[in-house]
Amino acid sequence: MSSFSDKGLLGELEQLVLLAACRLPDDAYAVSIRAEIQVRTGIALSRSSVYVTLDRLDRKGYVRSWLGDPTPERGGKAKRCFQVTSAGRRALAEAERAVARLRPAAIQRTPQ
Amino acid sequence: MSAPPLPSLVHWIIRHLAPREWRESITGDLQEEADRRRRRGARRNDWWSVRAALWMSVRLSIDRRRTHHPAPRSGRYSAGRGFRLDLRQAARGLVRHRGYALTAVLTLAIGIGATTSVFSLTNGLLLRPIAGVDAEARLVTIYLGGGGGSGPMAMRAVDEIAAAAPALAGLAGTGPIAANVEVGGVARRVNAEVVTGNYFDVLGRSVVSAGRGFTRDEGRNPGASPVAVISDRFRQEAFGAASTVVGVSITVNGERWTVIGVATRDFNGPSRTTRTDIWVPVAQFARVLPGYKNVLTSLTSRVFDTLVGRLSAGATVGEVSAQTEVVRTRMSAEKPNDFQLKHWRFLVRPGVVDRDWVGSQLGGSMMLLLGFVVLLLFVSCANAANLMLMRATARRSELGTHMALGASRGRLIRLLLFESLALATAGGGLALVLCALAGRAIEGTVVLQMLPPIDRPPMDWRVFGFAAAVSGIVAVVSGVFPALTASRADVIGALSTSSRTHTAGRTMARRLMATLQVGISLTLVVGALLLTRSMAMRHAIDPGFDPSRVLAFSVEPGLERYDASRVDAFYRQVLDRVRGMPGVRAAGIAWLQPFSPYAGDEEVRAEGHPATDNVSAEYNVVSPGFFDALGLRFVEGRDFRDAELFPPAKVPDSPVIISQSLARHLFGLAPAVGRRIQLHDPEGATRLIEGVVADMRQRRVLEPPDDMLFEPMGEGFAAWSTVLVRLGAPADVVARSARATVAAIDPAMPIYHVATLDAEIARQFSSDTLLADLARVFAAMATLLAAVGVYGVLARTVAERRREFGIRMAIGARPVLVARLVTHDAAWVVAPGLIVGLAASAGLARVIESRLYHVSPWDPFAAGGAVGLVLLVALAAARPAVRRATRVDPAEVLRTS
Repeated sequence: MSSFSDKGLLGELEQLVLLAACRLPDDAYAVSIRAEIQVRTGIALSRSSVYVTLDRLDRKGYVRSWLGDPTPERGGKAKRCFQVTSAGRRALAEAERAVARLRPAAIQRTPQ
Repeated sequence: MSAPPLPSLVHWIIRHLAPREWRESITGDLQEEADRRRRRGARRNDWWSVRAALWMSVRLSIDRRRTHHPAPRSGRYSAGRGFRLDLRQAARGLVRHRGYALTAVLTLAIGIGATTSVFSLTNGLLLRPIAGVDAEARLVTIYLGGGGGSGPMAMRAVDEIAAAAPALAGLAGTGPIAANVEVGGVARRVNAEVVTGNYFDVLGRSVVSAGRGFTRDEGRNPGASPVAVISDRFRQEAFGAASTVVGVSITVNGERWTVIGVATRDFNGPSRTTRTDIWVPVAQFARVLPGYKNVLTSLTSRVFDTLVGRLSAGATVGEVSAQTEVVRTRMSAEKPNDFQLKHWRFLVRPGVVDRDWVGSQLGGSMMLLLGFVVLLLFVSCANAANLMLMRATARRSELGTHMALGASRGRLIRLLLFESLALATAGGGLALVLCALAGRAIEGTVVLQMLPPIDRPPMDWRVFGFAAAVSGIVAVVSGVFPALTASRADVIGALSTSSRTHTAGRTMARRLMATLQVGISLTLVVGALLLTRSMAMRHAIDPGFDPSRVLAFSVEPGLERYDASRVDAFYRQVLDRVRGMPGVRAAGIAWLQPFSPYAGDEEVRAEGHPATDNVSAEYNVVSPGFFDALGLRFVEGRDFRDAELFPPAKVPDSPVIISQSLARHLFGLAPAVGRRIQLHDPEGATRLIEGVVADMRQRRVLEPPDDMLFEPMGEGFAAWSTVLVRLGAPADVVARSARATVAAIDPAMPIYHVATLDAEIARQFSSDTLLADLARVFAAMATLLAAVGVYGVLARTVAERRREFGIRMAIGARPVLVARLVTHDAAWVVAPGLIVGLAASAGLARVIESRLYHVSPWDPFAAGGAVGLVLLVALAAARPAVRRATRVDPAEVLRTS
C-alpha cells in the first residue's frame, strides 16, 4: 500500500527496466539493460525511454546508481551502473500483486 | 584498437541538453554502441549518434522537468499552446471577477474617452489642417488694419502687392458676402465669398475636387459669363447626395450663374470655422452686389476682407511685411486723404484667417477643458492602478499556488500581462464608443456666437493612442509588478490564507492614490459648481423683456435688387401679413435685433445744449409694434404710428423714442416727451421725443442696459432687417408659417437667422455653457471614480483587519466601535484629500475667475457645496466596508486563524 500512496504504481516500462536490472546484478547499465530486455522479450525499447525510466526510478529510490571505472573502449568515459534497491523490489512485488488480484480467472487460465 | 571519437556536435548536445549526472555515462554508452554498430558494418554512424544524443538528452531533461513541475508545461516546450492556455486563463479570471473587470474597464474608458473627445474637439476648432489646402504653414494672411481695427482692401491692392512682393509666390483676395441662392424653386440664404481668380490656385489645386476653379479671364473680365464654385455640403443639401452639378445653372441674388466646380468635402473657406457655400470671382462681383463701381481698378472700391498669400521658397513673414509696407506708402501717396491707408498698415500673419480670432475667443475655454480632462485622466489612471494593486494583493495566494505547482515566473508574468492588456483593450474599445457618443452629442453645438454650429469633431487618433497607451502602461505596471513581487516574497506566506503579511508600503500607496483622487475630484467639483453658478447668474439676468416669447427672423431684400420704394412696400407687406398670422400676438421690424453682433452708435444731446454734453447712445431703427413684440413698457408717451413709417425724407422734428436711461441722462427726472434732442450726425438735426420706453439690453446680455435711441424706419432704410414676433404659439409653428408668408410675397426671398431671442442669448454664452456643461460631466465622473477608489481601499482594509475586528468583538467590542474604527480609517483617506482639493481648487478658482459672472472665486456655496457633495459620496462609498466590518463573525475568525 505504502509505495502506491506517494509514488504511484509502477508503469510497465518501469517494471521491465527494474526486472532487467534484477537479472544483471553485476553489470546493469543502460546499454546492457536495453539489450537484456530485447533479448529476453523481443521488445526493442528506444534508448531514450530506457534512460528516462532509469532516471525516474533513480529519483524514486527504486534503484541506486554510481559511476563505474572509465574504460578505454568507451572513449575513457565511465558507465553509470544501477542496482535495484529493496524499495524497488517491494514496488515490483506490489505491482505484480495488484495486477494478479485484479486479473479475472479466465485470463489467468489462458495459455501463453 | 582505438575507436574513432564521436562527432563534436554529440558532445556539445550532451553538454548543453542532458542533465549533469547523465552526461558522462551517456557519452560512454554512445561511444560503446557506435563502435558496435561500426563493427556490424552500419553506416552513417555520426548522424545516428547525433540523433540519439539529441533524443536522449532532450527526453531526460523534459521528463525531469515534468516530474518536477507536474502542472503546466514549460513555455519553451510548446509556446503556442501555453500562450492559448494563458489567454484562456486570463479571460476566465476576468469573467470570474466580473465586478472588478467591469469597474476597471469603465474607469479606463472614462479617462481615455474624455481625453480623446476634448482633444479632438480642440483640434477640430483650433488646430486641424484645412481640407484640400496645400502646405498650410506656407500661407500668410494679410489684413489692412491697426489700433484694433481692420478694414477691407481693393482689388488694386492685391495687384500692387502681388507685383511688389517677391516674397509671395501667389496672392489671392477674399471677402465675405451674403447671397440668396435659389435652386429648384427653394430660396436659401448662404455665405458666399468674392475671390480673385487665382484663389483656388493659391490655396491648393486639390481644393476643387469636381469640375474646375476659376480661369484668369473669369477673374479679370467683367463681361465673362458668370460662374461659381459651390461647397460639397451645399451641393448635397440643394441637389441631393448623388448629384453631379458641374454645368448646372443656379440663381444667385436674382442672376443666373453656372456652377463650374465643387470644393472638396470639408472645405468651407480658408478657416476651420466658417461655413462658406459659394465662391464667385471678383470680376463679376457687380452682378451679385450692385453698387460697387470699378471693382477691378479703383483703390476705394474695397471688396476683400483678407488677402491670402503663399510664401515663396525661403521667404519669411517679415519680408512680406516689409514689401507690403512699400506698397502702402505708395498707395497712401496717391490717396493722401485716405485715413486707412495713411494710418493703418498691412498686417501679415502666418497661417490662416481666423485662427487668431477663434483662438483668442475659445483658446482659454479649451485650455481649461484640457486641464480638466487631464485631471480626469489622472484620476482614472490612479483608480485603475488602485484596482489593479488591490487585485494583485488579493491574488497573492492564487499566484503562490501557481508557483508552488511549478509555474515559472515567465508564465505568471504572461498571465498577468494578458489580464492587464485585456482590460486596457476593452477600456480602449469602450472609450471609442464613448467618443462617438460624445461627438454626436456635441455635433451642432454653437461654441461661439458668429460661428456656425460645429460639425462632428473628427476623432483624433494620436490623442486616443496617447491616452490608451498611458492607461495601458498604468494598467500593466500596476497589474503585473506588484502581483509578482507579492508572489515572490514567500510562497508559504502567500499560501497561508491569513493575510497578516501584507506589505505596509503598498497599502500606503493605495491610500495615497485614493486620497489624491478625492482631492482632484473636489477640485473639479468646485470648478464645475463655480461655472454652473456663474451660468445661473447669467440666465437670471433680466434683459428688460421676456426673450423666450420672442421669435426673430431676418430678411435681406437688398440682395434682390429692390429699389427703395419696393423695399418699403416689401416691409409693409411683411408687417401686415405677419401680424395677421395665427399665433402672433404682436410683430415689429427692427434694423438691429437685440443681441445682434452689429451696432449703431449715435451722439445725442438735449436741444440747446453744447456739443460737450453729448451722450453716446445705441441707435436702432424700428417699426411700430417693435416694442409690443418685445414686451417693452412705455414709461411715457406712445409708440410710433404706421403713418410715421417711411417718411419721404428726413425732416426736422421727426419723431424718436428713447429709453428710460437715456431720458435720465439727458433730462434728469423731468418728463422727456415733447422735448427735442439734437443728433450729432447730421450735425444739428433735431428730433421730437414721442415716447420713453423701459430699459433693455441691446448689445450684450452681460452689460448693463444701453442708452437707446429709436427712429422709425425711413425710406429705403435698410437692405436687411429683422422681424420680431411675440409668440402666442410654439416657435417652430410660427417660424414655418413666417417662411411661407415671406415666400408668398417673393418666392426668391429666403428668411434666415430664425431663432427665439433666448436662443440668441444662449449663443452669447455658448462657449461658457459648453465649458460649464463639460466641467459638470467631468466632475461627476471624477467623483464617481474617487468613490470607487475610496470604496476599494476601505474594502481592502476591512479584509485585512478582519481578524483584528473578530478578536475585538470576541472580547466584547460592540459593532459601533468597529464601525468607528473603519470610519476613522476612511476619514484618514478622505480628509487629507479634501484639504489638498480645497487648496488646489483655490488655484483653479483664480484661473477661471475671469469667466465668472457675479460669482466670487471664493464663493462659499461652491466650496461648501463641493466639500459636502464629495464628503457625501465618500461616505456612501465607505458604507459597505463599514457594514462588512460590523458583520465579522468572531467565532468564525477565531476558528480559521
